Amino acid sequence: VLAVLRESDGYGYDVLRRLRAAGLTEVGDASVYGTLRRLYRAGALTTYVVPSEEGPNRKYYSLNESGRDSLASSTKTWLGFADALNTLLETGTKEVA
Amino acid sequence: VNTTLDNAAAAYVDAMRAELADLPPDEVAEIVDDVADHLEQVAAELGDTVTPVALADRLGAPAAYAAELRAAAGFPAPTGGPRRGDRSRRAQRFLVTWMIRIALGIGVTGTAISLVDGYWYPEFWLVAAMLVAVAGGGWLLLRGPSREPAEVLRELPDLARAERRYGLIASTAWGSATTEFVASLRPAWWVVRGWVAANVLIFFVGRDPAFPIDRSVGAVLVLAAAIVASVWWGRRSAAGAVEGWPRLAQLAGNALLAIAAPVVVVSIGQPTGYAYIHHEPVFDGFYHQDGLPIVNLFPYGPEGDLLEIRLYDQEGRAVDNVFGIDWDADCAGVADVRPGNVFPRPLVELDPVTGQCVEVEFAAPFGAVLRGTAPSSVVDDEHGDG
Repeated sequence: VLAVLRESDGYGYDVLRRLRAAGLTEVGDASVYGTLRRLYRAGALTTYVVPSEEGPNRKYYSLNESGRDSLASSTKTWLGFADALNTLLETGTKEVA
Repeated sequence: VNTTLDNAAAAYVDAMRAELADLPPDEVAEIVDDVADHLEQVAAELGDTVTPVALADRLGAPAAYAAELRAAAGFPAPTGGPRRGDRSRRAQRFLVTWMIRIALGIGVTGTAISLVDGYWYPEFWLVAAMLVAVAGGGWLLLRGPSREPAEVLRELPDLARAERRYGLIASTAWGSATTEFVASLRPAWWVVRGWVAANVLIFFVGRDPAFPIDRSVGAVLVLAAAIVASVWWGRRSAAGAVEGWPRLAQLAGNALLAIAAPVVVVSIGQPTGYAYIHHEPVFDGFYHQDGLPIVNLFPYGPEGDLLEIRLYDQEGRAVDNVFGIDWDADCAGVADVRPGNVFPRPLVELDPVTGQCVEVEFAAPFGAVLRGTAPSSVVDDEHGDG
C-alpha cells in the first residue's frame, strides 16, 4: 500500500485497483481499507478531501515523511529477506541438479 | 440515479457500521466514509443488478467485511460490550433514547384519546414536541456540533434500527418504487412545508390559523413568502449547498413543522379558538350582546304587570329554545308540564332532601310589577309601604 501511494496519492478504491493491477489479485477489499486506516493511525499517511463531480467528496490518502521512511525500511527488510531466500533456493536448486 | 442501488449499498454500510459500534466514533466515521465510497464503486460496477445479495456475493457479508477490515487495521475483535470510557456517552444516549420514546408514547396516547373523544388536544403534541426538541437538540449539541447531523443521530440505536429497516424495505421492488415516487414529489413537499410554516406564523402573530377561510391580504403575502422561501431553501438543500449549522437548523425546523402540521390541518375548518374550548358545552339558543345566554323572558303588560305569554316566530313556530328550565340535567323533561314557549319559564330544581324535582320561584329581576309603567299601582304600592 505504501509503495502504491509513493507513485501518487489515491483514494481507497484507487489503491485497491492499483494493487490488483500490480498482480496482487488475492488481496481482500476490506484488508486494503483496513490497512489504509492502520497506516493512517500509525502516522504514515495523511488525508485530504477532494470534491468529486460524480458523487460525494472523496478522501485521498497520501504518503508523508514518516510513511516514506517506513517504506524505505520495509523495502530494505524485504529485499534482504528476498535475497536470502533467493540465495537459499538457488543453492538448493544447484545441489539437486 | 438508481435508488435501488443506493438503498442496497446504504443498507450494507449501515450493517457494517453496526459491526464497528465499539470503535471510537471518529474512527468509525472515517471508515464509513471510505467504505461508502467503496460500495458506491462496487455498485456502479455491478450496474442494474445491485441487490443486497449481489453485494454480499461480491464483498462477503457486512460482518465478514467488518471483521477483515478490523484485523487489517489492527483493531481488536469486538469485545461484546461497549468500552468503559464511554460511560457518559452511554448515559446521554440512554436518556435521549428514552425521552424520544416517551415523547412518541405521549404523541400516540394523545392521538388515541383525540380519536376516541372527538376533540383535539394540542397539549399532548406540544409536550411531545418539546421532549423531542430538547432530546434531539441536546444530543446533536453534545455529540457533534460540527459533524453531519444524520451521522450523529444514527448513533441512537432506535434511529439506526429504524433506518436499517427502512433501507431493507426500500431495497425491495415495491419499496423502491414507493420511495422513488415520494422523492419525485419533493417540490410538492416544499410547498406544503411553506404552507404549514405560513399557518404557524399567522397563528403566532395572532391571526386566524384557518388561512383558506380568512383571505386577508396579509395572510396571502405571508403564505406566498413562506412558500417561495421554502422552495428556494429546498432547491439549495437538494443541491447540497446547505451544510453544518444551517443543516441542523433545517432538520429541527422540519421536525417542528412536521409536528405542527396535524394541528394546523385539524384547526382548519374549525372557527378560531374552537379547538381550545372543548369542555364547555355549546347550546343553541339566544345570547345577549354581552355574550351571556338568555335563559328566561319576563314580559310586562301596558299596566306594568308581569304577564304569562306564549311566543311564536314569523313562521308560526313556537319559540321554545330559550334556555330556561332544564339547566339541572337531573330534572330534564320533568318540567315539561307547560309548553316550552310559555314565558316566564318556571325554574325547576332537584330538591336535595326529597330527591324530587320541584318548581321554585323564579326571580323576576324587576318583580311582579314594573315600576314606572303603571303610575297608579306604583303610587298604591308606595302608599302601602308608607
